[in-house]
Amino acid sequence: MPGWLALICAIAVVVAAAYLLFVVLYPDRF
Amino acid sequence: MNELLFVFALAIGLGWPLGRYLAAVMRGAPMRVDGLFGWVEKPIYKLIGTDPSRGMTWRGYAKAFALSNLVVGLVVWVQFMTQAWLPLNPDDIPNMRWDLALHTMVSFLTNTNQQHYSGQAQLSYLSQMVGIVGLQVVTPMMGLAIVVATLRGLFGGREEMERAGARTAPAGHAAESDDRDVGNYWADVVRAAFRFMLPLCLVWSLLLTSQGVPATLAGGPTVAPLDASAEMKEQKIPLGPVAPMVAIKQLGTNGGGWYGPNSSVPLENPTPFSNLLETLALILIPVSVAFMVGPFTRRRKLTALVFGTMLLMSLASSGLAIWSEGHSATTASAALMEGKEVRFGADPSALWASLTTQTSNGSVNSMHDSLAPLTGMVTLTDMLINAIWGGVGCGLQQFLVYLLLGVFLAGLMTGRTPELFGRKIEAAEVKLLALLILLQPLVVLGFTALTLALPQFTGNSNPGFHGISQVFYEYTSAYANNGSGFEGLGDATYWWNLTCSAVLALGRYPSLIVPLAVAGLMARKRVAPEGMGTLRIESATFSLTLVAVIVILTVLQFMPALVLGPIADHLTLVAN
Repeated sequence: MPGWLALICAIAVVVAAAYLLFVVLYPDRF
Repeated sequence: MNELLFVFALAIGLGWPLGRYLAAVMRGAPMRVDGLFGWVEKPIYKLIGTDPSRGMTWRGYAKAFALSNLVVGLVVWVQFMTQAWLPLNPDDIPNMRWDLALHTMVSFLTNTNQQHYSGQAQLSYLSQMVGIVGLQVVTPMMGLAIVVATLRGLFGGREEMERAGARTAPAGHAAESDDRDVGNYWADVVRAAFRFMLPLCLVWSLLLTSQGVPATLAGGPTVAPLDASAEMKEQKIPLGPVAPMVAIKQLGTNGGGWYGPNSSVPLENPTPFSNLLETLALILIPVSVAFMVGPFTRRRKLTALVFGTMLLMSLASSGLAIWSEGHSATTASAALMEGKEVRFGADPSALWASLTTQTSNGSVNSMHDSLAPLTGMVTLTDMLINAIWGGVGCGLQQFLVYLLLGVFLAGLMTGRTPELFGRKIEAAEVKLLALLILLQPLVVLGFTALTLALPQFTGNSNPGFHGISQVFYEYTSAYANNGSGFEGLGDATYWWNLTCSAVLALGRYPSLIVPLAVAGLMARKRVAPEGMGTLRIESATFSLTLVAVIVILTVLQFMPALVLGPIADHLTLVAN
């Protein structure tokens, strides 16, 4: 896998994980 | 049994907040995170040519659903038949034959993922990543969109549902009028896909990759086999971007794996932790959808009815499967050890088998053909009910069908006018629902009987009672849009591909559209205020009544087939 693609995937996963953690902790703040 | 309790505790613990969040996403109101997702959603709306805030009638919604399925289906069908000429094909996979490509396309378009092919040998990376995974992401969201539109219809349309929430008590229409706004199909699908499904898939992909599930675009290596007696000089290890596909196939009640034997292959499910992740993913979104119902409709107690009834049926099914597989009279039968999965053991296999059929997922971590006959009967029954949790959206849709019929029957039994959420259930609605209920035995039993009467087409590996189960299972799985198979069938033939394609479509589209039409009809009706005489549906009594209605309407219709198949199989094994 090219490095740039791996970097994009890594950023996407970190953002997704942080987002989901917020969803699970504060589901009513949306 | 510990696995069952652990998986359910996790699913409920995560499903509750996810369900509340999903309700906010599906309501379509402005959210704080609009800026985060707007940059990707807005261009899609522009491309489709829709205004996401503009609502549709139930007819418009159904047409948009049909159009999206038609376009996406045609593109994917052509892709499968031309994959040898397209990029990302390092293993030189040839084009798919038209009938197998048709069955594969319909199977994935209907969120079924019944596989008459082996993915690692017959699909290119591009076909897997775009055709298969693309449908695996979008089709559960289509099902979810249809069920939220149905819920809006049952509550009088989008505006009325929101008004009722704002005032805490539903208000009646001024008069019966035209079709109501049940939402915007395109906005519902896009919002659910980007705001709910994709973040979950990304995280699950990483977790599975951490356990050793392959995630690469490179071709697989060629190695010398470890087993010298295999009489092979070299062996190709098929790799690819497996982890993302496993994530969406588990989370989206899809079920179609990268590898033919699915999650029983160590590459697709390498460790006990990956098995836990994949088992949890089977029910996480269906449980979240059950938790979504109350906040979405602003009728909080409705969650208790939906979740409680589904949980009751789920625990009964899972418990029976685990008992049958690990503790029943046939547990030690040598005849059942052929093809038996021993890596995870009996309980996790039985738990997976029951959950994958309760949720319309269809992925497997053991071969269902090798399950004890009574476990096979549990899986068949789960698929016949198809609403224990059900597929994403379509499970709740089927549950609403049972709910409408349950209210109608309870109304007849108690001498009350059948009403759901204040709206009368009348002859037109009941006729439509009755047609839907009768379609299932007509299609499943009809094709099963026809195939058993034509053994030259069946390709059946077992002539006994188990052979009846194999054929019955294939069509039940297709109609339930489950996708798991008893296997033992030579199913990559014109007969199986074409008949199963028809059954897949008949199991998907009427089951989604008819309840939407019923909701569209009911949305226009005048609302009667709830009073002392109103049937209380959010109660344990009604929940048990509903379970009885489900058993009577569904399971008893198929009792003769179940007796001829798994029950006779079980009795034969016990007698021997």
